Amino acid sequence: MAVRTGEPPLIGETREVYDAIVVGSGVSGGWAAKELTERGLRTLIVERGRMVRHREDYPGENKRPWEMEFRSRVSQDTKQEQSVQSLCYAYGDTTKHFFGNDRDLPFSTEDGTGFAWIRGNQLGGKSLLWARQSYRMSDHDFGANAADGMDGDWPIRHADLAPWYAHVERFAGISGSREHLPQLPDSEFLKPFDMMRPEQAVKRAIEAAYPDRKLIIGRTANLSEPTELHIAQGRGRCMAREECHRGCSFGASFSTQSCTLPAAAATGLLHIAPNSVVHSLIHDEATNRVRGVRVIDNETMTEREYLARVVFLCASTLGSTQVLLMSKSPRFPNGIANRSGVLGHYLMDHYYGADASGTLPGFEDEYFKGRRPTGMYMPNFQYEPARYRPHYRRGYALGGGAYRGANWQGGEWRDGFGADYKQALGQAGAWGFNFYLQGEMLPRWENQVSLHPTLKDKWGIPQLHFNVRWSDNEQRMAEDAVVEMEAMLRAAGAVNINATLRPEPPGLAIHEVGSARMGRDPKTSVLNGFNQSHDVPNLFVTDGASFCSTGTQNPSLTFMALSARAADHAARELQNRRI
Amino acid sequence: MSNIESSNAPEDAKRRRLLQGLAVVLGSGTLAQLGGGQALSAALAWTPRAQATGPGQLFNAQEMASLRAICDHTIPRTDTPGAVDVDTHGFIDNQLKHVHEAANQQRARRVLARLQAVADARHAMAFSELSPELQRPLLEALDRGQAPFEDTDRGDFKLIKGLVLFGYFTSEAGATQVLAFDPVPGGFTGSIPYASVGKAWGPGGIY
Repeated sequence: MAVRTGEPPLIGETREVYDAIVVGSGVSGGWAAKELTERGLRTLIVERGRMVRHREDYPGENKRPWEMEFRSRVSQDTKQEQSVQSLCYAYGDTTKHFFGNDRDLPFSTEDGTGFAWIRGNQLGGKSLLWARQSYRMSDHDFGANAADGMDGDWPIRHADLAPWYAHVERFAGISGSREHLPQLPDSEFLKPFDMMRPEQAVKRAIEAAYPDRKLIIGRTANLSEPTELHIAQGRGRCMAREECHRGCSFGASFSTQSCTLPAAAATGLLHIAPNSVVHSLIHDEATNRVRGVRVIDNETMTEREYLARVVFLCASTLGSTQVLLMSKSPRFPNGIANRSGVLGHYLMDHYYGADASGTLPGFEDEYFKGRRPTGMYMPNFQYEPARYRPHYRRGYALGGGAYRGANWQGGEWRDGFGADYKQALGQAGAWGFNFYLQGEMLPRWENQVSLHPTLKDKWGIPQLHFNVRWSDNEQRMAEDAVVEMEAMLRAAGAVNINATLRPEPPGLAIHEVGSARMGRDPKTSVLNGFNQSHDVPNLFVTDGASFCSTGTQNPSLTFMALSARAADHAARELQNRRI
Repeated sequence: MSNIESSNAPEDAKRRRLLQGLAVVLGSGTLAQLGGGQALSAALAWTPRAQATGPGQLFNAQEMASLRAICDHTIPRTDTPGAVDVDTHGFIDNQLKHVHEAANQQRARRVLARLQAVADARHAMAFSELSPELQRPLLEALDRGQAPFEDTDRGDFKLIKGLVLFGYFTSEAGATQVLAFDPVPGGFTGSIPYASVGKAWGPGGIY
């Protein structure tokens, strides 16, 4: 395969036995590859999709609307063909090539249920598409299952993860403000992005009316002000273009391409096998170790194997669980690492189905420059049982913020024609403020994925079958959040408030976690506190599959910290010959 | 792959500007790693034609002529191009045909037919052949849902009008001349006087 200067070797067939294989190259896989190679392990990334090279392969970047036939929208034909992916808020003409192709990636849902499985399918995975919101989980989150008397206690606490959060934050670059909140530990921060004046006013009004609630600038993996380390990575300051999803040639937005991959490549120990769909793990019964992965070529359908001394599954929550389920053997008839039987169960997402908006009078002279890569954020204020509402458990975070659109947007509802009308349309409109819900979803055994008994994808791999429902807890939470969002907007002086439920299927928050959860007890969990399989010591699963609960925080920062920590542990175990 | 440094193709010129911008930010050492890259494709299946007449893909010639007139009334040429100058009517025809569901296509045709029927009843002429002075009162009544038009007609007309606005303000002329165009802001500043810009920012990254 063609090798470019400075690029890791691209692998097709090989007999080499690597120190480590990392399946997947998204947020989790990129971090695992970086940390493993930096500890001297020859590492092969096995990626099901094509190569996407930083800067070269961002076809949507810098595209102006008039350069696109449909001005960034997509055709009906595309929407019908990509009926699941096109549901995603980020799906459009400038990003569609970074989404999986629904035609090739079928899945099924139990009658009466729905799920929207939003997928990447290329090197970098969804790290090219994510919204970059980055928040640490707190001990309130790690301890929530136990505090509620439910099983599935996380086997770790913030103290275990704190040095790894700090490690990934410093390298990735997280912009945000120090707030000293018990439910939301501060990160190692780059300077926060500016709040707009109306947001400062809304913050003051809401915090005065609700002293237990805080409204803060969002915490985002964008380089508001790069450090020397980031500049040495070849990355620059965020230009506030709002083109992160298209690929950022400035490297200001965190992705595998901009951040972790170059670091792994710099060690000289990284190889990449693209277009390699992992069918299953190869398990050696005699030694009880995984020896590698069975692969089906993405394009030619030919089969091959890659071998290694340790395997990291970082194929995304559902991708990793699918590989585990596929890896059956006499010792593991229900999927490798699944003697507990919990593999596939306790699948969760965040509940997004409610939002509120209103007009903010005044601030006519206020404007901003640039398109900020983050909104505002209200951390969960119902973060412990004493603060729960009487009729449901747990709580929710809110995103949102102020906006000032142009009069032409929705301007058709302003009656008029002619020169004066045209002139008015070109002016900025009224200010507004909105909230949207990000609610915790309870872990439930019944919410599960399994392998379909008969239907297979084009690689001959049984497709996933989903059986996931929102519970009454999520429904009551959403209804309560509608009331609270409306009340807060009123307290902030907003008018013409519209607060509404907007039900959508699980999956559309794209925060799916669980299904291969960690835990102290091998009888009720798949992984230990180091994301290491209880049953097979050289198998690690470090993406969202490992989660025990959702918390209210966007999960990707925790994927990074877990992956880095697990890689460090695995390297030490390998070096001490314990795996 | 084209040789970016010497090419005059518009897409390469634009990529050159992006790379130059990157050099300022990152230092030219990093630029050496960027290589030729792929030329950004600016080829469109539909291209604007300012003097377009005749049928569209969805609309017949008479409907297109009515649409053209609606565009002209809504956003006339002033010291900046008008909606007709950038073939907004052609854009709407293409957008409705390919991007919108059949229901929206039917609504658009229905309201154009209503407009035509009223023009015929009042003036015994096609709407597009009336003078602008006679077209305007009909459009205003439609825009407001006043007799002889009804509220559903108004709603259907707002669909078309919304497309006029979307088509115009995402066109190059609309986005860069009437609005304030800022492709690479350089960072985010949370508070500036509106008067320092004096008009709305053009469409950003997500439309």
